[in-house]
Amino acid sequence: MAERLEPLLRATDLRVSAGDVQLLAVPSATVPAGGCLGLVGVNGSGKSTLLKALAGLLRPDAGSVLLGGRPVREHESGFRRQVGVFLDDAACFPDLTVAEHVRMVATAHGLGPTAAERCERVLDLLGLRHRADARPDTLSAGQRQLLLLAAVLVRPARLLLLDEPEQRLDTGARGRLADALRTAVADGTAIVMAVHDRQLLSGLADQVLVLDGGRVVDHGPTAEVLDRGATPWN
Amino acid sequence: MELTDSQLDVDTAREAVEELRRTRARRAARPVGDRAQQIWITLISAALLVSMVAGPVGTLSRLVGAVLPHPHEGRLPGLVVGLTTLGTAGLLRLSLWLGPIVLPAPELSWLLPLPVDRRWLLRPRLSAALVAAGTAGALLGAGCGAVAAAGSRPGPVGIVLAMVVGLLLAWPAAAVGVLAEGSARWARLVRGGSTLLTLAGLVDLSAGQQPLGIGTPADVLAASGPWGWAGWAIGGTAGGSAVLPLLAALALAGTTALAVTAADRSLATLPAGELALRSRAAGRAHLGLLLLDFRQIALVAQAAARARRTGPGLRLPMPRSRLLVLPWRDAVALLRRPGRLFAAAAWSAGTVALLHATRLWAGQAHPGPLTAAWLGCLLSLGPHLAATALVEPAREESDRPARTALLPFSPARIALSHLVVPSALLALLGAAAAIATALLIGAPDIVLRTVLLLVTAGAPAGIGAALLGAYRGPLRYELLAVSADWYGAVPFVLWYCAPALVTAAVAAPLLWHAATAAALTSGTTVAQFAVSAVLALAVTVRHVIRSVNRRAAP
Repeated sequence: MAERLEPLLRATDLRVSAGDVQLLAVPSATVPAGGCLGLVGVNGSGKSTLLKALAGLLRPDAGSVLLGGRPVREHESGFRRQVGVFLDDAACFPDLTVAEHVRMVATAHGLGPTAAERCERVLDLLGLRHRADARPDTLSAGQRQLLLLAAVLVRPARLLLLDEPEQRLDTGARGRLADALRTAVADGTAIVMAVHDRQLLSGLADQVLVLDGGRVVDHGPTAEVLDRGATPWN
Repeated sequence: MELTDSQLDVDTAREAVEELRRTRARRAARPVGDRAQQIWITLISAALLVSMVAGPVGTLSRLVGAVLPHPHEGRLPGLVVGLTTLGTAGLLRLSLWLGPIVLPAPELSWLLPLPVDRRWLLRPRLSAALVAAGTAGALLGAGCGAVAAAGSRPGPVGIVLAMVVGLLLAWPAAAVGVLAEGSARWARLVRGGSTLLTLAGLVDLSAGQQPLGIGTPADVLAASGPWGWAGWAIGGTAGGSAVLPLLAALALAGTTALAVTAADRSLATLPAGELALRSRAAGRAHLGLLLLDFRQIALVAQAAARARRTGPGLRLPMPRSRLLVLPWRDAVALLRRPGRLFAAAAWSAGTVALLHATRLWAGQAHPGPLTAAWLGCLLSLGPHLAATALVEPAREESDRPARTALLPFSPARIALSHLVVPSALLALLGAAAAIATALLIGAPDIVLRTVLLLVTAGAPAGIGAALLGAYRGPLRYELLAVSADWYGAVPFVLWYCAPALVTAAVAAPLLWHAATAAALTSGTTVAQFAVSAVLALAVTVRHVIRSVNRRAAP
């Protein structure tokens, strides 16, 4: 169903290199509103590089990335209002508590009076409510990951770009994360996520892009790609 | 599986480590010519350093001499005791988060887990710590000796004696640091003790020669422990009886011997976790020092302070308007780390004291324009450091730009939002400092004008300059390669000091006039200050926006 819609995000002929080494060569990648594109591949296959290019954090040597028909400009507040980005270098403010982080993001996105309620709902959803008053440096690595994901999910967004969101999470937390992402997709949010967890991928993504050495080696509906069985996972 | 006796053979491990040391010593051994060259280079560097700092230290010494009551028979200069007390507190604090026993990372990973007596492994590190602390103490002693000599006869012998006393003060501080490294109870004691010493030192410095019934604060402090004995010994070198200073020095030497022995005994039980923590902290601090990146050192200190805190701290209700979110975060960050506010207040108070001293000295010395310019810059250093302490939340963002990635504001807007809360706080501190100065020099009309000037124009310009320092990016070492001549470092130094120079350009003339109270009432000075402050704010804002956008661009 999602394929029939006009793409919200469209990347065309993206090429990224470092010196003489080509890091990424993606002819085309599209995601419609309410769609979910999974990026899979072994470590170093180019998943994070593609996500950074889609987020406007990396200037491609060639090609374009359009969000709603306009080029992405990460430093513009308009882009930041529409797109939630979760990368592996995400960081917390050392002096704010878990709840304050999430509420700050919600308030900054103009949720105003509903910010507190929404913040509690997201913390509940991700199982982080009991650590609401904790500082980031007292959290475990998994809990810190959940806090950063809560800050991404608490705000309204047209597109979420997530780099291995299931990393460091236990099985229960992965399940809760999957539920939260399904709710976001149902609300019309598009998602592009690099992922190693086959269950999360098959339960959420409707399209998969398989990368190897920076090149697309397979692409299509999730079930078909998984059935072909040639996907390098990790 | 049970361990056999041979697997637990401690002697074998010890032999292996001994062999490792011998190998290292063989590799480190250099020909006599190389050693002589190294000594020669060290001597030349030291002579260069001394010649560079001799001028400013001499001026400072004369400045101190103008306000310091001349030492007389039987009475210690309170300033020296106050300085040695504050110095002891500083050395204790330093040893709490940076060693004293610091193992290099390879030894930490490979040698510490070996089944050998930890005291045997760590003793060379204790010696190294004592050498480092001794050097710091000797420098502190030299400074205190120079202060004690100011206003009376200068005495090189006195300064050398003061260096020895400083060394004897630093060794017990390092030894107590080792005890704190091995025991949480000692760590709490040292932390509390250093705070008390800081307060006592400040009380002594501000009280001067006011009697307390049992003597002046300096008399009480001088008899209370090694920090006071050191002051006594150094203060005595500037004049008066030699018996009491000698007794104080002997007591200090006895304390040093006891403390170092206790530290040596505690080496065997130092926990590996604490050693690892300090090794990492010292590694980062050393690298920061080597690369002149003092931000790294500040981050190490902050991490140590954060590790001790429990609970979220003071709360501020979250505003409902999205426009107030960024000022709210600044306010929360500053409230939860009151040390930054205290630091800003301390720099403001220091400026008032310096202003007062400058006024007293300038009345006698009638300085020329060059000295006036130099002193004006020195006076503006306090406000600049206060502003720097207040923009710490901005620093947190420029350290890790990813922290603001989830906020729907442009990076430039986020950067400029840091002008609001720090400017208000700096204006408040500036107003308090201006009132204190006016009361000190007894000129009420200056109060209104200075307060007005500082609140309306000076504070935002000062914060703008501090933000320039926060957002300009990593150190530009490539500027050092502009020329191979002696002046090759000038571009780098100018770049390094740019924020302080902007503040000096705005504040130095006003502060100099406030110190001399000559022309502050003239409309020209007021207009000049207002124009330069507005210009400085405009220039710094433009540079901050450009820096932030340049860094944000992929």
